[in-house]
Amino acid sequence: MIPAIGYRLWYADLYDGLTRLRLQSLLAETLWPFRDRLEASCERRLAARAHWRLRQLGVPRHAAPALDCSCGAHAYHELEAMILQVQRLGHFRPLGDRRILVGGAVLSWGRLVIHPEGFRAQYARPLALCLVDPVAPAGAAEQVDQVAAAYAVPAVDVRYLVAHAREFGTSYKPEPSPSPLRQQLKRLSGLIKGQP
Amino acid sequence: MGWTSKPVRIIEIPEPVPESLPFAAPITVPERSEPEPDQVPARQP
Repeated sequence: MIPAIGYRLWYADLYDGLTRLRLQSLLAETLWPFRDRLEASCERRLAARAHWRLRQLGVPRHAAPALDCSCGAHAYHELEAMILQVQRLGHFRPLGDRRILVGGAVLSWGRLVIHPEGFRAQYARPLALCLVDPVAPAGAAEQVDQVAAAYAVPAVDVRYLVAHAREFGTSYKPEPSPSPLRQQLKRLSGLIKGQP
Repeated sequence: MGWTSKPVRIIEIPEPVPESLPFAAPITVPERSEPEPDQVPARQP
């Protein structure tokens, strides 16, 4: 099987001594390793060690991504979905937040849990990065260039991201299931034609 | 970025062959080594 390609966002903060040049996941705050694959782990289970409420709920030990969890390296099937996420959160930034929003394509393999809008993968690695931040400060493009160089991937214009990614993998976006109305219409047209 | 929908299926994709990947090889900087004494050219008088 061919590796999966997906699209996702990260934060990058070149002024932060800890995360400098590293891509950081938006929610889990995972720091992605340079020039290597990210192996997903279940942060919810890690959080359960410290938080009594989660501990009460019980999070059994499991490999990421698990079917009944939200763990794994997330990526959208389509670039458009990633752009929509940029529009949802790109404009809301606390004052003084120096992080920039970086978009990109990832190559994923291992175990993949496929959802209609995206997937959760066991292994993922950035393929190319692009600046997608609508409120990016001056010099943000150069910052993305530096981050991309640290990951040994190209920094491309968002318009060329899909074409670049498709050279190395494929989409596993599931076929949309027919709506109930469409299914009823199909059955009715079959009855009219005399088919069961 | 967590998905709100239910998963559709699970697949297992083998690790890609490194040669097929676009990632640049890690930059390896050769360690600087001092020349051996016998490699040091003799100073001309």
